[in-house]
Amino acid sequence: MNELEQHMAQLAGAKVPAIERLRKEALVRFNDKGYPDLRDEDWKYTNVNPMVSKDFNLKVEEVSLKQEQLQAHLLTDLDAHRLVFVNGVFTPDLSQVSNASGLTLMSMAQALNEGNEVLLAHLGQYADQQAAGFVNANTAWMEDGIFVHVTEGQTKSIYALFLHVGEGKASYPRNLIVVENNSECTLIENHVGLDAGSYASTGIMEAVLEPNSVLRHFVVQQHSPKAYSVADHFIQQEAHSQYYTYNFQWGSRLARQDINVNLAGQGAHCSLDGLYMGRERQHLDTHSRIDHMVSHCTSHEDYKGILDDRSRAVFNGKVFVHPDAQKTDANQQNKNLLLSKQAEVDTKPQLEIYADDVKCAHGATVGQLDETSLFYLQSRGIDLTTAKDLLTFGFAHDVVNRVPCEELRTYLEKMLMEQLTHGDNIREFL
Amino acid sequence: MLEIKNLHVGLEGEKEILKGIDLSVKAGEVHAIMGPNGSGKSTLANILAGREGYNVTDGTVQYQGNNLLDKSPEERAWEGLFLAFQYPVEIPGVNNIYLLKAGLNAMRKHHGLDELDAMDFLALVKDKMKALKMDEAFLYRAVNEGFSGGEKKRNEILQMAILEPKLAILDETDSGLDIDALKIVAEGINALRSPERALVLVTHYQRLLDYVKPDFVHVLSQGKIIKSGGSELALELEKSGYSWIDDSQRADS
Repeated sequence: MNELEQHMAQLAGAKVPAIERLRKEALVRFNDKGYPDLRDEDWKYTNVNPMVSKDFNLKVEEVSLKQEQLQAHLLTDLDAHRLVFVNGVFTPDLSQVSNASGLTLMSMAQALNEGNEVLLAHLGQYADQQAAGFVNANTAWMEDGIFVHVTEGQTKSIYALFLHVGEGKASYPRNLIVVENNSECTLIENHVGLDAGSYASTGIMEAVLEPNSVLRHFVVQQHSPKAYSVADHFIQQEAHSQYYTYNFQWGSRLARQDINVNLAGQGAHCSLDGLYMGRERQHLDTHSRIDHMVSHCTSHEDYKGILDDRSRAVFNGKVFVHPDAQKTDANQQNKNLLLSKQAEVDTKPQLEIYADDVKCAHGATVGQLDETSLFYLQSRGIDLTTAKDLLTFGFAHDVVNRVPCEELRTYLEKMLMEQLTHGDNIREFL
Repeated sequence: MLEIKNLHVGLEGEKEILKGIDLSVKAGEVHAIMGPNGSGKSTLANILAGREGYNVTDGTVQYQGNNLLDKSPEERAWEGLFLAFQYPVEIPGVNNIYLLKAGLNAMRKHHGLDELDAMDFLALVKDKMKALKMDEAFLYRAVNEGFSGGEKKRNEILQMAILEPKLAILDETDSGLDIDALKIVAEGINALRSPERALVLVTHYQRLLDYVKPDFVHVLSQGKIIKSGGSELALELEKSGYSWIDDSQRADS
């Protein structure tokens, strides 16, 4: 056995034949196709070579965390089930999960080891259909994450905190969320780099929304500034289900986020809101793809971006309206604020419409801070630097403000302020 | 307090808007600058407050004995110059009360005074708001966001009342106000009249001047002050409109 085979034999679910098969098939595809490169249309602005050419470590090492490092991120005010992962692995000591009727909630490793039936029925059904390099890699080496199965009613929120410390670890978080008929689920995913280590995170989430179900999904990506992260979300929506996602990212040296929504049942609705903020030489790439498969579905997407220094962002929003998807209502917006002459954004709305009775709108803008607003603040005695930070904060805060969860909003405001060059100056304005 | 001499101003890279303005404003005086659209009224207000994008090609502006034009807008504010905007700007995400407090404290700091704490400031601002019949809820809303036209103008006067400027320039503060709001705003302005303070009212119409009586009225047309007089000049303008200006300028040329 070589090192890689040894590693795979130790991964969760190794004794469950269905899981083993899933991993092996993914590995075969991975060995065949490898990682995407710039020749791939979906990756033409994002070179992943710096990430995939590095030798990150698959082995888990013991780390010790200091309470004061964690405290700000634990969201102790939030009434939620909390699952904490350190360098990709579930850490029961920091977690707090209580029994609740209508809810099965456990770490992905546990679900894989048990061979949970619901898990087996869904795992890989949505992601692996479109198998690209990172999806295959995750399925082959997925280690931990959360497994959520809501069978009835509305459960309290689930908070999944992924902490990263130290150098060199590669982690493969995998989440599966199954929300059954008429039930609701709220999931907060927070990825935090606690120090400035270089590591890689390749994640997948699959979510299935059965008829009349609701999933609210918050994602905060604040990996270390030297980290590499790729996250793929696959959302399968049945009739009259509703998916709301709020995506914040300002971490990682290189980050790629893909959101794929398949509107497969009539009357389904999805809403994607997001904010990306880049500094220094960060590269932040957001790709979304919404497939309107059937009639009477609605989709909404509103992303904002702020780029400073020499950072670069990519936004690509695809909406496919398939021939049966009459009465589709789709709108998409992407607004970008460039704070430096060297910052860059490539924004591309992409609509492909094969039905004739639909309503689709999209818009993209790239601009700078409004001079009149700056002058207004200055004329009230606010110095130029603070005025710039206030307007930048205001631009970003608009997205934070949409988050329908007060505890999370407060946390995001705090984190956002730390991202601004002179955040302390404007703290008192809020 | 303010000495403008032969001021020539153009938009950057474009034609001249102000073509030789002379104006002297002393403490305690109220001046009205009237004129038709496009005469350069707002340009004059903006250049005094330090807005970018203009090019001063000739002339000088002295404020309290110093060159005003080389100061940043915030320095001018700290030294007691205030501009009430014709179109107050919405600033999403920034609470009204904190803008007011930060502006005042920056100014106090500039003058070597202690900053006001939250409690003292709140007491001060509530007092001023009562006079302007403003609801306290305004304090906790984002600056001007979703305010009606009248609310925005009242908010400008509130800012002025808090900052207590030495020289206040009010750009079309009466525009977009109904008669009740106009009266409240005018009361707010009158409350600030004092022997130490000068006011410059920039306005197209005379109606604000019914409530805030100016000591001097200047008529601005095509970038020049073509006539100056007492408050009776405003009434004259109201009666005959601005058409006589065109006639007289045509006669000049």
